[in-house]
Amino acid sequence: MNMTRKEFLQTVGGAATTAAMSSSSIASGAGKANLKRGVSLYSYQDAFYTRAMSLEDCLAEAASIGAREIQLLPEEMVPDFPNPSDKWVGQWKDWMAKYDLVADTYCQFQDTVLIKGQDLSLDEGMEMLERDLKLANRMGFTKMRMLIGTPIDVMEKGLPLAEKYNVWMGCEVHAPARTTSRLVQRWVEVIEKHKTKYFGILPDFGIFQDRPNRVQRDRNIRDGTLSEAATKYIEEEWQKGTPKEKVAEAVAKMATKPGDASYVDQVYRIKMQDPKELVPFKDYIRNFHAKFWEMTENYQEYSIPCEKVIPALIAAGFNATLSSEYEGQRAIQDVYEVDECEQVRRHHVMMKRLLGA
Amino acid sequence: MNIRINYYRGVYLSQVDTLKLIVDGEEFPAGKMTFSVPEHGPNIPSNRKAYTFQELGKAAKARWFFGDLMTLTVPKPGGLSSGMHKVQLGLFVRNSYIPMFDKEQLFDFFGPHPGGATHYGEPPANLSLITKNITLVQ
Repeated sequence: MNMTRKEFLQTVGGAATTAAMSSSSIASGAGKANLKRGVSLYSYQDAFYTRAMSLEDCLAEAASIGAREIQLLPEEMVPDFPNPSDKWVGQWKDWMAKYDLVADTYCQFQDTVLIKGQDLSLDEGMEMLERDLKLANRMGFTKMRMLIGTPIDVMEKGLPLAEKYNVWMGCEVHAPARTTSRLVQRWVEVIEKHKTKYFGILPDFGIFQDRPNRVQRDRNIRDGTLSEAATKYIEEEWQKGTPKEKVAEAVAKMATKPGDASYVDQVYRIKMQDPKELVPFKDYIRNFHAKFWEMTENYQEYSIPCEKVIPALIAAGFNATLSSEYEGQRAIQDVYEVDECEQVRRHHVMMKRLLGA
Repeated sequence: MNIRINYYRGVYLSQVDTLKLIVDGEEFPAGKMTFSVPEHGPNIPSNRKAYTFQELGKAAKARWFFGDLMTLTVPKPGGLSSGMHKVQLGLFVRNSYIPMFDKEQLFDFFGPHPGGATHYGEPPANLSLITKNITLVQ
C-alpha cells in the first residue's frame, strides 16, 4: 500500500482530531517563558539511517525551525564514537557556530550487560560513564541525559567526574515510572545528600500521556501481535471506566492474538501525571524530553496533551529546554512514507504557540 | 549477505547477542559464520574487519555503526543455486542499558522481581524473523 504522508494524516490521523485546541489563548497572558525550544536528532534517525540526511543536514533542519538547543545520541551519529578525531570535533563546533545552535544534551547509554550474562563492575561502569562525560565535554555539551536504568552507585560515584567535565547529569523519568516512584525518591536522596548541581532529573513527556498511542497500536495490528477487535474493546471499556479485571477476563475469552492480554495492562497504565506534581523538583530539572509519536495536521500530539502540560510548566517558572523527540517513525515505516522533518516542524509550531516564542 | 542494525544506535560488537538465519528452510548456525564490519563509521568508507561469532561476543571495544552494513559469510559447499531463495533472519542486539541485577529493587517499572534479577538483556523466547525473497543471479 502506498500512501503519501498527507493522505495518511487525512485518513487515519485527521479523523480523530476533534478536540479543539486554543493554544494561543492559553499562552497569552502568561509570563515570559524560560523554556527553550530544542530537538533531539533522534527524531531524524530514519533519514540518517538511509543516508537521506547527513548530521549537518539534521543540524541545518533544526536551525531552520528555530530549534536551537540540540540533543544528540552520539552512538547514533558521531563518527568513530567514542573517539572522534579532533578535526571532526572542530567541524562539529564550526557547525554549531554556522547554524547558531547550542550543544544542549548528550544522550548516554550505560550498557551494563556489555558482555553476555554479566553486569559491568563498578569500575567498568565508571569507565563507561567517563567515556561519555569526556566526549560531551569535548563537544561542548553541558547536560547529559541518563537512562532510567543507570545504576545508582555509578551516578553517585560519578559526581566528581561530572563536576570535572562540567556536565549536569539528568536521569530520565520514563513511563511507567512517575516522579512519585521510589526510584526518583532515591535519586533525590543522592542529590540532597551531596548538595550537588551535577545531578538532576529529566522527565519524559510520556508521563503525560492520556490516551493510547494509536500509531503503535495500528502497527502491532498490522504485524499480527494485536487484534483489531480486542484493542477496540479494551480502549472503549477503559474510556468508560470499566474495571480492569472485568476487561481482562473478557479479553482472555476473546483474544486471538498474542499481545491482546498485555494490551489491557498497557492501556490501563495510561494515566497522565499532573504537571503540578513536578513543581517540587523544579530546581533539579534542566531539560524535558518532549517525546511525541504523532503530530496531527491540527498541530496536536494525538495522545500527549502538550496544551495542558506546557502552560503549567510556564506558570510554575521552569527554566529548562524542551527537546522534541519524534518517536513515531518505526510505527509507520512499514506502510507510510516517513516524514520526520514535517513531524518535528508541527511539534515546533505547537510549542511556539504555547511558549509565545 | 549484508545486514544493517535493527536498532536506533550503533553498538559494540559484543552486544550482537543472537542471530538466526534460515535459507529455504535450512538453518545456518551463527557459530559457523564470519561477520565483517567497516572499522570506521557511520558511513565512512574504510577497511572491513572479520570476526567469528565467538570473537564478536568478546569484542567490547569495536563498534557496528548505525546504518552500516555487516556482511555475513556463510559456508555452504557448492553455494546457493541461481534463482529465488526464501531468506529469513532474526537478530537480537543486547541494548542493555538496564542492569541484570537491581540490588536495591528500585526498578519498579519491571513489576516485582524478587532477588533483584531483572532478566533484562536476555534474548526473547521467540525471536521474530523477517522474511525476504531474494534472487541470486549467477
